[in-house]
Amino acid sequence: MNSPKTTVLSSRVLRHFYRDSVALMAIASATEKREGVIRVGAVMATPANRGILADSDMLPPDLNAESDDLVFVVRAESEDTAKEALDAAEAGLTAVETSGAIEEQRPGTVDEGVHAALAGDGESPANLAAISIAGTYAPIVAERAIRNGLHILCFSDNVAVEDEVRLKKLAVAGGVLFMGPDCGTAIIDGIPLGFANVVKQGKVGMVAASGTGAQEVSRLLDLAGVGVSQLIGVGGRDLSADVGGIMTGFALDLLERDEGTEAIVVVSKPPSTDVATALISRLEGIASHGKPVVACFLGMDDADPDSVTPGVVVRGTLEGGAIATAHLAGHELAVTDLDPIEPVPGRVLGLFTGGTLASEAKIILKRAGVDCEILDLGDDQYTAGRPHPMIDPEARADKIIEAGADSSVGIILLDVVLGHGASRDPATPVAEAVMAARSEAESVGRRLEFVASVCGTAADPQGIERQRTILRDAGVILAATNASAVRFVAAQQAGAHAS
Amino acid sequence: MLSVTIGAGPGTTPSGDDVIVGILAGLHVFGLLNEVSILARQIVPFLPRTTVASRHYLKAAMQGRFGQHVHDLVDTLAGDGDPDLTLQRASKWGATSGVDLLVGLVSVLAASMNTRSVESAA
Repeated sequence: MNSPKTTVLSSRVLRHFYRDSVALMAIASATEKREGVIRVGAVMATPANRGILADSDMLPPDLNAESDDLVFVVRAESEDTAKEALDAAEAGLTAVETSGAIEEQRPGTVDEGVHAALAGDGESPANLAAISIAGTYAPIVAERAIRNGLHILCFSDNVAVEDEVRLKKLAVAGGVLFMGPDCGTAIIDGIPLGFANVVKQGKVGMVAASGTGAQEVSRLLDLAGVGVSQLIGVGGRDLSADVGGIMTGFALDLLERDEGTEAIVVVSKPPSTDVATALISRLEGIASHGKPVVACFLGMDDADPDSVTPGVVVRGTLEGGAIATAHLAGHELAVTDLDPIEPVPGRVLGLFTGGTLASEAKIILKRAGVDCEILDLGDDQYTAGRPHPMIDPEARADKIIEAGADSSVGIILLDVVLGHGASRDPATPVAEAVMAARSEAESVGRRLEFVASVCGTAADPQGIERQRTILRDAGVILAATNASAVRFVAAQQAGAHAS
Repeated sequence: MLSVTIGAGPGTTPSGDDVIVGILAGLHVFGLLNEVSILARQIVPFLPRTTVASRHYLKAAMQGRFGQHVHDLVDTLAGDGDPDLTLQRASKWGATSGVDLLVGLVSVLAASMNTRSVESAA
């Protein structure tokens, strides 16, 4: 590599600007990866930090900034490269605040925030509060908002189950939704909240206790030409015995009454036994009143209406749930499986960013009797101190490279999740890591294959075709659905053991 | 030392400040209030050299007021002291803040143990 003789140092100061350091680090590391960028600094312009910048020859001589200003410094090979990098970084830093035409309120306290929201601009006051603070404090904030008649999207996790039950009862009594806790995905009146793919508006109402499960089903419906009326998240514990499906029941009430909803799909892990009986009979009731229902309960045996559950279609995979729902809405979703390749020796390793996609993979491989190790890299044990791998794909890239040196691994399963909230370019880090891992494996004469599916739609901001091309160019085998990718792997393993 | 620590490092509460909050928390835990006030007097002149948010945390820490996460970290350390669990909890707070706090806390702990072993040897 030639290192250019001269470099330029450019900076940008964002006055009185705060950004969570996790977000800041993600943007800094993305900026540093740009072609022609040598080094990046992103710090509050305190005297000590200016000293640190000076020590590493990164302090702009004419820097005019105070301690409460964020300074972004780029050393690059040319003036233009530096300017482009700074533009991109600034766009990334300010994107959250300026997206859409909605003016941001900056309340100092929860009460101020609730009052500002309710006052609105006189025409359409806010009717939903998104809560994303430490779980210990979320219930206090949520309760105030619920008592003021706001729907809740509670992104926070680590909320005690007793609080969840209390708040959900309070919400139902007040006629508002409590989506969460730990709810990352919802689409209300066409507005995506949290992680959501850009799907068509349509007639299918969704109630989901899982984030990426809801994303996979909604994007497959979109692929089949079927739109979504509402996607109501209820939090992963809603159908547990403790919570008893309080919010699922309320969401079903709303969707049953909603004129824009003609069919309903519930996406969840299997409900606890006590909850399942009541829920299935509730779903049968809805179906008998003319809105067909699919219960997509991961890992459950498939069942059609005329057998165990009259009126309700039960599917045990996300793909199965999407196909059955599309069918009820008058569309067919045809999934073409991949042709088999020459069997790969070695075990199966799954490196997933989507928790429910990882669960679906485990279920299908277990049914096929394939030994495997499937990791959900979004799980707490992997995310401590860093962003979720759907936001920052670097954590998974490291795991992929590690697997390149693990001689027991033959085939690696991956998911790439697009949509709002997800990384702007999740495919590139995967592709780079795949190429590095493969060349490592091949250097010792080992074959290593990668199989993936992209959970996205044609309208997603990342550009699904571009993302797929990046993966394909790196030699990743791409399947249409997560389930199809897993079936392909299962078939390979069966072949590998037979040979 | 304070001149290069206060306001240094990434984040809205720069790492250096988090370490100092950790040290103040450690001194409070051991009841070393005299040391707290000595350190606090030295910190005050440097307060304008950091961010508003961090200044607030430092001021509160000098008065013995700490966030719940600091209390949790102290409890974990004082409890069964499982180092993995402690580190895991610490790394959940912010990008680096939790670990920075832990560095401050542990440095007080280490200093205190050194002093005690010298005392008992004497």
